Amino acid sequence: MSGGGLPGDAARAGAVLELRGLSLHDGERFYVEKASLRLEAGEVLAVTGDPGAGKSLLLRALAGLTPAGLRREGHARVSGRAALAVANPALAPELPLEHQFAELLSATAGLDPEAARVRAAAALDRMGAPSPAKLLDLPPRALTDALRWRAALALAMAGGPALLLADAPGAALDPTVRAELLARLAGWAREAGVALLLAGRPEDGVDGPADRVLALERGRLGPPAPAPAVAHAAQHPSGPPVLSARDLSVAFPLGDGRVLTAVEGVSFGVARGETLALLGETGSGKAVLARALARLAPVSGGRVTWMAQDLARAGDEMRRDIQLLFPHPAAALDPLMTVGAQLTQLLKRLRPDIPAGRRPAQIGRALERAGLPAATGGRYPGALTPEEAARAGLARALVTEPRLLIGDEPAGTLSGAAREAFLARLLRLQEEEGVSLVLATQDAGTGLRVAHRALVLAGGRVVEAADAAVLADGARHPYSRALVAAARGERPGLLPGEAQGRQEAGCPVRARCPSARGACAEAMPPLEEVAPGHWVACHGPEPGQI
Amino acid sequence: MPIPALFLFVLLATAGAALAEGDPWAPALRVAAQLPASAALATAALAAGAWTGARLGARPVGTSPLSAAAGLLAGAGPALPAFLVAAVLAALTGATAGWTAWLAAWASLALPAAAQATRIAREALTERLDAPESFGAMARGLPAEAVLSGRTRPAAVGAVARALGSAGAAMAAGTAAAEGLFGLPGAGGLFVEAARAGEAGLALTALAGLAGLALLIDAAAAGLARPDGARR
Amino acid sequence: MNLPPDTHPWPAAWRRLTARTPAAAGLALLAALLGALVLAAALLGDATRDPLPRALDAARISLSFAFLAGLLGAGIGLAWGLLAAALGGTAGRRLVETARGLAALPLVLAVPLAGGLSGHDKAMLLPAAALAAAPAVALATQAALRGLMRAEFLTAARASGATGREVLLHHLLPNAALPLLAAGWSALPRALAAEGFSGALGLGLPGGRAGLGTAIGAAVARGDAAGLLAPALLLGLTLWALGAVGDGLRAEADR
Repeated sequence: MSGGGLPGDAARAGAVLELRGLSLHDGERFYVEKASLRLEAGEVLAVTGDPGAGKSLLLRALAGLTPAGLRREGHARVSGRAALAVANPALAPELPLEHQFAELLSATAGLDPEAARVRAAAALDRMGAPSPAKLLDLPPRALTDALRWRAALALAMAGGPALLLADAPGAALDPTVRAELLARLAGWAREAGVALLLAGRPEDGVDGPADRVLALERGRLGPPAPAPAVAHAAQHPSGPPVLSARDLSVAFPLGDGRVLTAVEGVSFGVARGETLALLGETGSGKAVLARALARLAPVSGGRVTWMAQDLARAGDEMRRDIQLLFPHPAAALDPLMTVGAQLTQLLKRLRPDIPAGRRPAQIGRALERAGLPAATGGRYPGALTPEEAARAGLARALVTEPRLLIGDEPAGTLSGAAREAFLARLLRLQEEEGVSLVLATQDAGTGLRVAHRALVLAGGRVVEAADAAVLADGARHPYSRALVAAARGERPGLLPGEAQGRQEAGCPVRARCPSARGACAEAMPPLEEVAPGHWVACHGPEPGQI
Repeated sequence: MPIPALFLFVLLATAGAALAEGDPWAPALRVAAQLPASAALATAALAAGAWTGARLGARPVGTSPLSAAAGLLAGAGPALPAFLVAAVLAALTGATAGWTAWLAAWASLALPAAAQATRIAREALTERLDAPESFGAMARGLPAEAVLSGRTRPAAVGAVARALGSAGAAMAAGTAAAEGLFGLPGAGGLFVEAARAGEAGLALTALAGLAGLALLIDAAAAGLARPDGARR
Repeated sequence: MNLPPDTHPWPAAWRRLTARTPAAAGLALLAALLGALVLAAALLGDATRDPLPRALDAARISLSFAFLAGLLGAGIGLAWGLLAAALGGTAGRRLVETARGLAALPLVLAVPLAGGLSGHDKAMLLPAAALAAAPAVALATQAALRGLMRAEFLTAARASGATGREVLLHHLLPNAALPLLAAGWSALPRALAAEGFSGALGLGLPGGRAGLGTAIGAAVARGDAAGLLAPALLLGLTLWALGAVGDGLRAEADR
């Protein structure tokens, strides 16, 4: 890039990285097999693959950090210095950022602390960190996850590499924040003439800003397979709502008389066999709302009814109808009880009508419907793979024969094909048995694909509600548009910043909204119906701004 | 319980014990006069032990004789409480006064402190070497030697410095044992003498003094460790 | 280590514990020591003049003392920590802060004090050693429970209609067993060290057939370095073994 104190030579010509038949193996197993690729200066390449596909090992080998015990064969050439940004920010938590920049820039570029500080501030600014000069004095421990990632990537780019290898950058961040981060990184690489290789799982969004995408599957690097058959919502069922919420609020007492309001004034209805997606960033209230529907969070206002019965006054018999899928299925199973014992316990409590003799058959059926062999019943949660744990969680939810499933990122621990298979199973069950679904997810792509209707939440409030198909193509709220764009790998239109919690007054998105104006700070805009069934809460841009 | 409240408790106990004795100030004055000797012994031993332990433990784990010695010291720590080392040295030297006794008392307090510090430094070093941030720094281009000297070693030393903030209780108890066994002057020696003679007032006063010493050591060590602890 | 997937987590934890070298060595040492004590008691009857059988006799008394005092101390500490975790809020915090404050004091000095003032009365030494060990156990207990009480599987149990009692008895307590064992175990080396400490100063268990600490104290008073060897070695090894097993238990509990 020109100016800003960042190094980079746009005139760098030829391939920065060239692999011909590179293999990594330990004598028994090939982790990477005969990989070939060529990466030019200023080019951005994404390599996607499921966990364990060999992405991290490939990146380590390219950075000259092949793990001990692994052998390298074939040809690999890097012209210039390669830097690897590992799969977490990996900053020393207590050392002020300035120190960490100075340390690296003194070692790699021989800069004195003063020059290092100038370059560090430029790199942080480039990565969208607010007030870089102030940030440099802080240790990473004092920063949010998103800022730590911005700092870590700024650190990697400030060192002036010819090749930057980024392993799952920002994978755990909100898709909106991550997409913006990746777009910045790619934009810098193109300007500075740095070859950038982004690696990640298929759902990590690394393909979004890339010029080219390759897939690494069981050690083989090649063009990505044609998109697998993904699950889509079945035809939109019609009918009266079985679950309905009116003006629902959820608040947690903080112990000192104050309360923390997590969800405020939310209304919706879900019909039999219908899927409702709750979309939003971290802290938007979607998970709390999902838990409130499963009676695991305190409802402080409004009313939820299930089959015309008030949920707050219902007894335990309602729990057999409404079951929750947890975001960390393995952690939601008692480690000291077999899967079967936990399902038996659930049947004893919630289905006393099923005689003890029929319980094993009922459990076997639930496991089978979740896609698990009956023998899984005899296993302990610690021995399950993430995929088996997610399915065991599904089996537990199914064993009482519920009519409403509430999922809080139910496939959040799964990746790629396993994730798709899980979602497809969920939808098939719904179609076959007419179960209603409420799915809370930060991944708007998946949410809008599998749901019939969607609520977009920000700061505990609904900012947009519409049919999923309408939202996918014609979202009106800038925040909804950002969620959809991020899911597509496009740059979301929001300003850099953090996902926000609830604010006392005004629109919760206003600090990051490019078209925010005075009115947005004064009052939360009301939900207005802009088209039949399509509600938006936005003051809209200043008249004449568009 | 915050430190000031504990101090108040200790002072009240001292005053109560002294009043029970009849002559209200005599035991307190005796303990106060002897406390500096105990404090000097304890801090000298703790400083030497922590310094040695941090030096030994912050060395990369390897096959050198020094590394093996560090491993042995760290591993043997739990078998070497100060009172046991003091008893062995007292039986071996037979010293009950003079420089030999002081030196032996100092050594019997410093050895367990060094063992503990070595163990803490080693654990911190290993943990930091395995931490993603160390690999991450190397992956970004920081030389391995810079990671070791600039990150992991200071972290190990920092861990020892932080642990000093809770070493007071063990040091005060060890001081009592060492002074008692070597017949040295000090609040600890006074405590042992008074307990042996069944003098409740003096013993309680000396105990309160030793408790105060423990808290003082903790507070001083925490104060010393803070600038470093905040940085690392 | 590859175990069949239907292995209960406790046997699996035991196998991992015995796969740790220090913990396995500690267990072996403790087993050997207990075996030697039983044999010595059976074969030798009354204490002889030989130093080793005398030291073994003292070790039996020390270990019995440490076991009883440790059990009492662990019981008090566990109850204290459980209460703090159950109360939560300000009251729970006060209980934890009290334990933390007491743990910063040289509580072990209360044991020789009790010994000296009571004329070596076991009935005073034992509770003093127990109380000296309790605050640290309370802190470890509360820390373990605080983490466990946030576990998602407890929420899942509540979501399945389990009552508070069922959650406590069927899920919380069984999962707390290992962390609580690790927390309580730390009272054993503390109680043993307390006996050694006060005995070495001549303020421990009454003379004659007494514990290792008293034997050490007597040897020091006689200036008998050779007579010190056996009891000092036994005490050091036992303390090491108890500590090594405790470290292993804690590592397993933290997994």
